[in-house]
Amino acid sequence: MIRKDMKDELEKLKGKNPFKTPDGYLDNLTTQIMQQLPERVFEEPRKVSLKERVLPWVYLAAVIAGLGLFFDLLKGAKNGDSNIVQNVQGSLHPATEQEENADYLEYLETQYANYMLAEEIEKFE
Amino acid sequence: MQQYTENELVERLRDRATVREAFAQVVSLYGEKLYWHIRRMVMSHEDANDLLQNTFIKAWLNVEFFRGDAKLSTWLYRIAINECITFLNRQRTANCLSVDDVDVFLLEKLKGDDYFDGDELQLNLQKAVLALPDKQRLVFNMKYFDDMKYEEMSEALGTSVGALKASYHHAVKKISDFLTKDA
Repeated sequence: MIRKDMKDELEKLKGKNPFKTPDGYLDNLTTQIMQQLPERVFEEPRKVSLKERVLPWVYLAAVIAGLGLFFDLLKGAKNGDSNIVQNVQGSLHPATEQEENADYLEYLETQYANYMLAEEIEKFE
Repeated sequence: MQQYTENELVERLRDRATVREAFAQVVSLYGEKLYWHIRRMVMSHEDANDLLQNTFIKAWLNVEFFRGDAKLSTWLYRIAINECITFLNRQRTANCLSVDDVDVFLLEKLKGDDYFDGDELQLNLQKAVLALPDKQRLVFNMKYFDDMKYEEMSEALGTSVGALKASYHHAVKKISDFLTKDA
């Protein structure tokens, strides 16, 4: 519990500032501070070219396509025996199937890249 | 100097063509307030002047990183507070004191200071305030002397409003007990 007389004393002291400053210090404060600031060269913001904006998407599409092809090949290798059986039964040669998959993936990649590019080219134009 | 709103000032700080002029207005708006805030922490006018310079130099060197998500005053207060705490810790190291010891060296500075015009009660009050831990002293100064709102203090100090209210209440109690003991 804070004593009432002490609380009153604190209240009395509230508005009083016992600290002083040299004459004119506060009047000249802004000038003094601005004079001390170092010179600065603010750099121009770097302009990002269309190529730099589009390339990451193309790389991403290539990575996805590459991963897709990789997993597909892996799947193909795992099903190796069944493919031989299928061959005997006269179905698609595994090499042809893989070529067709690769073609299809390339087609998907081209479609995706064209879709991403179309938007960027439109904005650029 | 034309006066701008806070948002306009922030925009002008972002523009290379107007940044210096806008910064001058920032100094003009907040310089004095920051000075007194620092002065009450470090007591000495010379030290307060140096720390105020450092505060504005740091703000100037980082002005392009100010995103405007906090108020300008909050941003400046945070820099000033860090400067004060760093300075005081350095002084304690130099005087071989732990952070829990009363900043006696500050009190000695105050007694011999030409720019301290207070009577014995004022001196005792400063002595009592110096006995508080740094963060609590900041809270007490900001509330008692600067009459800042708890919400503003919360932003500047990164502490919840509830914790600040409790801290201030305890600070007032400690100071009253200190002054009563001395009386």
